[in-house]
Amino acid sequence: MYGIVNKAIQDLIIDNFGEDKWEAVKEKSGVDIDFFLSNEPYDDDITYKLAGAAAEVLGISVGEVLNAFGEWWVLKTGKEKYGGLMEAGGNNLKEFLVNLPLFHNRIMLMYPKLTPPEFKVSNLEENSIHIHYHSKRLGLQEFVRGLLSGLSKMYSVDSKIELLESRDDGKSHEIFKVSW
Amino acid sequence: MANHFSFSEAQFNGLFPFYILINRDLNVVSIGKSLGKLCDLQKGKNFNEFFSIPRPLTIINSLDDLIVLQNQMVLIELNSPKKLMLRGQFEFMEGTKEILFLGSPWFGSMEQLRENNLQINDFAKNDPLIDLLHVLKTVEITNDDLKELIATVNKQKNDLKKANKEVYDIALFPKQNPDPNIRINYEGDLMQNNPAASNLDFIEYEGSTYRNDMFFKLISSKIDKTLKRWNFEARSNEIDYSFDCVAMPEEGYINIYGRDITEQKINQQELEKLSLIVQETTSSVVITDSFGKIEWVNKAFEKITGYNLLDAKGNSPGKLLQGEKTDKKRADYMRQKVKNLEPFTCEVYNYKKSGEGYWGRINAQPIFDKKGEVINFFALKEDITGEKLAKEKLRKAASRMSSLITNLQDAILLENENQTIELVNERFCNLFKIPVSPNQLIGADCSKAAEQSKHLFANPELFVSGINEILKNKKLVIGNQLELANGRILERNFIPIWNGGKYDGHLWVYSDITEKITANKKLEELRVFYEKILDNIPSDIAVFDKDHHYLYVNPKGIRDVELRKWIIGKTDEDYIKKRNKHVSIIEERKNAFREVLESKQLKSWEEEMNGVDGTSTYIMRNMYPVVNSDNEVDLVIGYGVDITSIKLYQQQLEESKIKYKEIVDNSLAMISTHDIHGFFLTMNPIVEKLLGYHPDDVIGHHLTEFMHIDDREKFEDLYLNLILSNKEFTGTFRVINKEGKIVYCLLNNYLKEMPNKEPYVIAFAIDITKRIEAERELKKAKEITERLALSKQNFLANMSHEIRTPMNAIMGMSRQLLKSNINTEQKNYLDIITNSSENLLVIINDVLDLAKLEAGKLSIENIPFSPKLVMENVLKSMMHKAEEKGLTLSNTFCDSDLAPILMGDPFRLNQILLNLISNALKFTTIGGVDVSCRVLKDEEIFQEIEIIITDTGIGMDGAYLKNLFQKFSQEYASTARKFGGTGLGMSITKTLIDNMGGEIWVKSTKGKGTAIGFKLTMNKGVLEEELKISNKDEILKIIKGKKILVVDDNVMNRMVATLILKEYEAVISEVENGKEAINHLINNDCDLVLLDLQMPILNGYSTSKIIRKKLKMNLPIVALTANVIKGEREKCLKLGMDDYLSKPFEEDEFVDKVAFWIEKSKNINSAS
Repeated sequence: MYGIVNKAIQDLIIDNFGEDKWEAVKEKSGVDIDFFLSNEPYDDDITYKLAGAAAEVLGISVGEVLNAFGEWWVLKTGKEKYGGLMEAGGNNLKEFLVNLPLFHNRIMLMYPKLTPPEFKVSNLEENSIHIHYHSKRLGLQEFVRGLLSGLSKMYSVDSKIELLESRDDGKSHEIFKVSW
Repeated sequence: MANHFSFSEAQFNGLFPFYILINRDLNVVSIGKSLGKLCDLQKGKNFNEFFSIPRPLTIINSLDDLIVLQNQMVLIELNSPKKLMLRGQFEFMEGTKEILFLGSPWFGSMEQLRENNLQINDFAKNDPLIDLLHVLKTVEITNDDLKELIATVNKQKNDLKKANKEVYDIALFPKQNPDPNIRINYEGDLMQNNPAASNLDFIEYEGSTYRNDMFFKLISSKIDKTLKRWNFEARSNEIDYSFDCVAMPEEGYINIYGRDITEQKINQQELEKLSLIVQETTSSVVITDSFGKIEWVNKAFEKITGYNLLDAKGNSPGKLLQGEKTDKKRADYMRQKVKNLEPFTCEVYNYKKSGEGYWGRINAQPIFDKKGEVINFFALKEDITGEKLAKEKLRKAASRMSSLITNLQDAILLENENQTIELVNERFCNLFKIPVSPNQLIGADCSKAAEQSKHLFANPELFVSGINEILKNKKLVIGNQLELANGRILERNFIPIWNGGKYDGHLWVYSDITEKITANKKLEELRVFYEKILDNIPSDIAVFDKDHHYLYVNPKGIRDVELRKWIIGKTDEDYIKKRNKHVSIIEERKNAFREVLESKQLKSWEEEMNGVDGTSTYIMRNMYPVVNSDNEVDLVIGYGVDITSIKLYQQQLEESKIKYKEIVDNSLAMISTHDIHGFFLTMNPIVEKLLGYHPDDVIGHHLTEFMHIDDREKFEDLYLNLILSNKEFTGTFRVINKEGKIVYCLLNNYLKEMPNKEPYVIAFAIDITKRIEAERELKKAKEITERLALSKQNFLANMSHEIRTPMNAIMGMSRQLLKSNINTEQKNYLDIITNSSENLLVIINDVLDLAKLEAGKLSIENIPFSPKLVMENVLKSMMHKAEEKGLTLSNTFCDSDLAPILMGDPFRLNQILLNLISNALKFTTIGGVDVSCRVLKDEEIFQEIEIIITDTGIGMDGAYLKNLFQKFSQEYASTARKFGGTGLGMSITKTLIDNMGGEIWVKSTKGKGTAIGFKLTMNKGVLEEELKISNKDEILKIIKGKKILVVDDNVMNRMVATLILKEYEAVISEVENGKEAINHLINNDCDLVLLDLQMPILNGYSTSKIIRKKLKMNLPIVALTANVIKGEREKCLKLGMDDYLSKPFEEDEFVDKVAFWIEKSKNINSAS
């Protein structure tokens, strides 16, 4: 994962729970890195360790940490660092989600060292869409759910996000249904 | 590779969404879909208007200028404030001679993209601009990260440098320090020390001397591990040290920093000694700086002045202590001395913090330093207030004494034991006429003074011997009275002065008491005078001293003279004991007395005295304090007034008040009072019960608040002003109750006026809402009834008209049919029809008459008629009925005195007779009916006649006779079935007779017969014209050939009239309404008009009016109508008609009327 991801986790914890908690998370995770460079790739393991330690320190599940982090990623990191890019993604939630595959394909090109997930869309309806999430990484589906939830909030839309299919159930990938 | 590419516009747009195609004239042929979002460029617009080419800088005048730009990168710029640039290339197309720009916008950042409202989708998928921008953004973020990282590293570096320096400084310091610095561990082992500490071989501590290693062991054993810092003192090598210890538990050692305090300690000890002295001295000590500002004060200062050191510090003593009474000169003196740095002593009046003044004696001294400069002022201050006060007291006492003696009204002479004058005053010199001043007399010998002055006294020798006697005895003599030769009286007092058994002299005091004696005499006279008054006042009076002892009681208070004398100086307790009275009174009086003493005000209370006879006497007791000029009670005057009669009156008043209150409270009428402005003063409980208002809602509120809003404006004029002028008011108010509903109140209010009191109004009100509502209901019911009655009358009129109209046809046609050739059976049928019709007509007439009678609308004519003729006609018309039943109908007696013409109503008389006779015939089967007529009274103007109808019929029960004249009355239900009729006949008959001023009577025997008679009184009259034409031939003669117009909308009725009149060979014209009648009359000759009244288009009334008024024709008009209601006839005559005939009519009557009016008209016309 690129450093920006770990940096975002750091910001999330410091902003919401304070510096002490971050130090505790770092200590608990055994990650001894003081400074994450946004555009440098780090071992995925670091991210998983940080998320696990954050869950332990904050007394919530890893899923909840990832979900919160997903929202944070869109609403804080995305908006602050890539505000223009996010806004260019679409005029509303639906447009953005339709553009999501293209968006990620471009990201992949820009970050050669990135192993980005792939998104596809289907079942486009007036008030819903299916988002297909293909990733080599495991256990990040709650992060994706958080991302989708964050996007809804960015566009001030009340949405419902359902996980229709999952690799946990033996399927090939995750399918989320976003309804608004 | 193929040379031709063929794209659809959509495909081309997908590849180059920002393309521009330009023709030879530099006009835009088409543009890409996304370019449209950036500018308002449309087909046909000139390229130059929208774009310029900055790189390579090109002025575009023709297409050629663009063509040359091929094969290079070109930046074109939008001519808009945004200055947006597109990066691309131009390609010229030979085939169309057009040039194509292919490119996309060039943005510096992703934000610009959004500012221009573009999205990812607006770019070709192959366009990497966005990715480029994103990469730029990423680089920017990376740079930010690096900047942040460098800042962090820099900060850490600086922190480290700082820490290094501190460590170095700390390490450096102890080595150079002349004071010992030691580091020991918690076991007391020396870990480190500086050179100065190495010299401390032995250390004295708390009275013992230790080797230094032992000493630190000792110190470590005493450590309180909770302390971070502490301090102790010790001595080594003749030097006193203070050691500050700092515990470093984490490091496991204690740093001990020593400091040489030897000199400080010596100074401190010296200072402590001095301080103690100064502090504890009883005089206050103040130390100021060289400018006179206080630096220190001792305890005595704080105690004397009340200011503590904190209060005083920084202030000048003058500012702190001096005040209003401080002598300014002395203050200035002290200030000058301080300024000049000189010592001084001064007594001054100062003030304490509490504001209390005191005298102080100040000894101030400047304090010099080694250089001879003043550093402080030291002042010692004694409180000399006591000394000052004592001196002042002494001075004042001497002055007072001297002044007293000088100004004394008494003559004073003080001699010493040798009779030499020590003190004498002016008054003495004047009294004894000594021509020198009192001062000159001091020291003079007085041994011969008595002899020298004796001539002044009335009895000189007595004066001299008296003096000698007194001087010999040397005893106190008071109140000696001496008369002077001029008549005045002196009082002399002699006061010997003994000092511890030694005679020191004596004091003579002479007072002129002439005025006093005179005043006393006058006073005594006054006392006697007032006592006499008091003795005779008819209320008991007692005067007490302030200890409640009797000083005086008047005879009303105690009648017995001896007892009255006895009581002076006694108390109530003494009196009670002596007289065996009850103790309860005393307590009350004692309490009252105490109250008067305390309050110094009059106290009154009532006492009830029960007499032996059981009656009560009420006394109003009063105690009044007499207060002297020092506001102390000297005397208390007690007086009692017998208020038994007032009390009884009050009781009666109270009882009557309660009684009246109960009456008012329990009254069912609402009783209230209000002031003359309309504000409520009181109300009784029923008001709340009936209207729902609590007294708080009402009292103090204005009447109008409770009135109906429409009545409020009239309140002043219609109520308030009225009651003020008339003193009373009766009327109805609409009051709004608590629920907001209207309550009608009948008011009966009175203005109550009393001398010296504001008048007010007593209001009595009763709720008449139910009554008002009932009246309203009644009125409504009455209106309904009246309306109903009116509709009934109208109904009757209509019914009359509607029934009579066909009846006329039925009866008329029947008669006509009878005249034709018919067989017997047909004749029988026709007879039945005719009889039935006649019966029906009677019934209808009965019903209508009844209705008229009930409505009081039956009119009785007063016209001349022949009574005999009426009777004959009746008999004639009834004859055939009698014959039908085989009965006789006779007129056995007709009084010959009967006047030929009487004034009355022949029609009604006819009706009465018909009724009675047909009734008699109806109820008679065998025998007959007889009619007789006799004159009971025959006067010049009138006759009273009696007509009796006697039958031999079924007769009536006595019981039934009572109801005979009631409506719908027939003896039995079966009677009605058997004989028919409405049962109205007798009732109508009686009413008609009553209305004609007559009376009817009945005699009847069941099974034998009945006699009914009636009396009428009528004026005698003269027959003007008699409507009588003798026979049919004569009528034929009159009517024959006459033109008669029959006007009726009902063809049947027209037919009846026409058939009858044709028999008499009249020439008949028929029309259906008034309009046609008018037309006919205009165009044709006519002798008589028979006019129906109710017709369509133009009715009979209007037609008559037109004939008379417009056509000005005077031919006879006879109204024919089925309307028989009251006033119809009058109305017809008024509108110009000549006569009136109601349908259905009798044929004879009809032809009689026609003949009469034709004849009359002929006579009139021939006469004119």
